[in-house]
This record gives sequence, C-alpha cells and structure tokens, in this order.
Amino acid sequence: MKELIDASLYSLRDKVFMFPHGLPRQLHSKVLLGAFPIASIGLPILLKRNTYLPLLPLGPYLVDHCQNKLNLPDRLSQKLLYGKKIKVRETYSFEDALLVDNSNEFLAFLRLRLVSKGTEIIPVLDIGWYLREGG
Amino acid sequence: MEDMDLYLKKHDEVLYHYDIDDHVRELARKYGFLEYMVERYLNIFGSDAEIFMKSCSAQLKRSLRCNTLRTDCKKLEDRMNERGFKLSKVSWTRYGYVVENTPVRPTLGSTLEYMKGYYYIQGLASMIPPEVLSPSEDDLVLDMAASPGGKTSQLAQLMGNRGVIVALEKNTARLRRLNSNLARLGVANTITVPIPGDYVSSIGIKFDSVLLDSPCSGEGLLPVDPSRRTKTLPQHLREFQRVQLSLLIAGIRSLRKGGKLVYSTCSIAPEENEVIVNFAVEKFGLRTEEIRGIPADPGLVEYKGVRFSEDIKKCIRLYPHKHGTEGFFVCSMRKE
Repeated sequence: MKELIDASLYSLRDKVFMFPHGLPRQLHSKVLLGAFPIASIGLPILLKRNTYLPLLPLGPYLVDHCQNKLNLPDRLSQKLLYGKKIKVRETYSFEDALLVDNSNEFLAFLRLRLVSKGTEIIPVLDIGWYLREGG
Repeated sequence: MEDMDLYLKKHDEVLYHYDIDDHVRELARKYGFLEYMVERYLNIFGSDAEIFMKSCSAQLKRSLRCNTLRTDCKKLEDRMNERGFKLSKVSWTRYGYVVENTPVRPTLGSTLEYMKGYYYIQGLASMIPPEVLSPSEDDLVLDMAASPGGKTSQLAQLMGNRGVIVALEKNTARLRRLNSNLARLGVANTITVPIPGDYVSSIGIKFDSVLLDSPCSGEGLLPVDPSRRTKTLPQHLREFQRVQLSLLIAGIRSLRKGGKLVYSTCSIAPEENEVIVNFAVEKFGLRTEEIRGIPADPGLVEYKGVRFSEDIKKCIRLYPHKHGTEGFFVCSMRKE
C-alpha cells in the first residue's frame, strides 16, 4: 500500500494511472502541458464512470488491506476467471469482494448477490480478462 | 534523408543482385525457400548454408522470462512444476528459462501464473537486447517500437520499476496489446505514446538510452513460422531498410551524448542489420561496443563484396543451427 500512497496519480481521459515516483522535471512539464499524446502513464488503477471503479492492476495492492475476500475451490475460481457467474450455498455479509487464491494473491473483483438458497457471485473484472480481451 | 537515400543507393545494385545457378535452384526446391534467399544463405554461411536451412525445419524449444516484478523465480519454477511444466534456467540470460516439458493442459499461455504476470513467453534471443542495453534505475529510456511489450517489460524489470521508459507504438491494436501486457506484468514506470518511432523528436527530450528493436522481415523466425520461407521478396527488404534507417536516425538524434543505443532485429538479413548499423557508425560516428557472455557469432564485416566498418564485428548474430535460438541480430552502440 505504501507504493500506492507514494505514487503520483495522473488522470487521463476516463482512467486514473499510478506512476511509482515523480517524473523527471523536463518530462513532467511536457506531460502536464500535453506536449505529446499519451496513451498510458504507469499502471491504470481506476476507471471513471459515475463513480470510480477499480481496474485489474489495483487488485494486488488491495489484497493485504481488504477484508471482504473470497477464497473458493479451484474449480469455482476457474469458472470466474472465464468471466462466468457462479452460485454457492453460502451467504455473505458484503456485496463487493476480492477473489483470492490460497496464497492470498488477487484474481478478481466480485459482486455478490443474495439469491434464494445462496449467493450468486459475479466476476466484475478478473485476470482472465488478460487472455480474453487483452491481446 | 538525402544521406540515407545515397547510402542505400550506393549498395543497392550489389546487395540486390542474385546469381541463381543450378545448385541454388536445387537447394531452394529441396528446402522450400525462395531462390534469392538460398543465394544469400550461401553468401552468409558458405558450406554451412544447408545445415542452416535444415535447422529451420526443427522446432525450437519454447522459452519464457520470469518476471520478478510479480514473483520470485524459485516460486515460478515450483508453481510451474506443480502444473507439469519443467523449466530449466538458461545460464546466459538473467531471467530466461527453456520449457523442457509441457502438460497437455493448461497451455503455456493460459496458466494462472501467466494471468498473474509471473512470466512472459519470449524467445531466448529476444531477451538479449534489453540485457545488453542494461539501463540503470534512474535512466530515461526510449523504446522505439514497443509492442507487444516483451522487451519493454524486461527493461522495466531490469530497472526495478524505477526510472522512466517512454514506449512508442502507433498502431491502435498493437498499443492495446502493449498496454495489456504491461498491466499484467506490473510495469509501472512506462509511458506509452501513440506516435511512430520516427516522430520521436516531437517529444522534445534526450534519452539516456534507446532500444530500437526494429520492425523487420522476421527472417530469423523461419523455424517458428515456415511461411516466411516464401513470404519476403527483395522489394520488401528494401522497404524494411528504409524504415529501419529512418528509425535509427531518429533514435540517434534523440539520444544524449554518451548515451547507449541498442539496435536489434529478429532477422538474419545483412541488408537489415550490418548495412543499417554501418550507417550509424560511418555517418553519425557511433562507436560499437563489445557484447560479452552470450554465445553468438560476430557481425559480418563483409557481405557480397560490400565492406562494412571493422567495428561491426562487435555486433552479434544468433542462429538456430548454432545457438538453438531464433535468428537474431543485436548491436550495442555509444554516441560519442
């Protein structure tokens, strides 16, 4: 989290990016002036909509600090990493969660919805995206 | 540009004249290459030309680079071993592994470790240019043709995500791929800029080091992609030469005095390598630097009767039949 706190944040179109340290002065002023086109600057961490939505590179920074985490059996995690919803019998007291594996490593941002006899788990953004969409 | 045109014109007639005799025709038929390619291989390899062409039919072992921005390499080895992959470390690269065994599933490009960015699937030879450039943690680095991001992310890894990399990629689809790979691999110190490499002067800053892994014919990828045996025509080589030279000139102009430029291609064509680098040495006074610790052949100082600077010997060439890698060319140069 310290890395995140120390980082410089840049807002570019509909995304917020984190750069791990300050830019050299000559480059910093050109970036701020928009002297040349920029597609990304460091890691994209937030998407601006009506609110701010987390993007995949933010996940690994959050796992040590968020309590709402699910560690599911591999078979179920894999379905979520294919971008598919799953249903489980358990119920949870929270609506948003991180999916982590046995090593507490980030796999996905989840939305949880109470349904009859359990919870529907919806992958909002999962690391399978890198294979499906990332190219 | 005038200089560039004159330079290319000077060598054009010799470089693009081919003596096709019965021996060339027979070898071309036997190995399925275009005749002009065989004629060139006879010039480059002499009596080893046939061994080279034969080696292009053998599959290269797959390789990957452990990404220490996301994991440590021991952990990667263990995890991959649990999944049925056997990795063996390649001594002459810092983070390169050969994949000796693979399970039926998952494939190398679909493991959980891949998605987490623990590794990047990368040819062994293509790991050389970033290691040769060897940027320091506070360098301002220019990557002139960055997508899909293998070398950019390797530079970031070598820099420990410190310093700054400016990565250029003009093509929208390739830029998307670059950004996705950088995000997956945890590369935080890179600015991606959607402009062509030869427009780099519009950024208006001088860089400490420059990587130009240039667009090329891919003639070194013959073992990976057999279609390349008949795809590239001499006119394509000419077109690549122009692109390569104009990128190199732009790279040199944006490099600070004393800075280092590494030029590389996944091609074994002297037209795309020694001819290009020789221009930097002769016209811009760049000094080539020795590349140590990598099993490779020296750059050619003569091809088809065209003499290049003796300094070109310090560049390196890698071949499938000699080094077990894709064909590759790397040259390290310093701006005086």
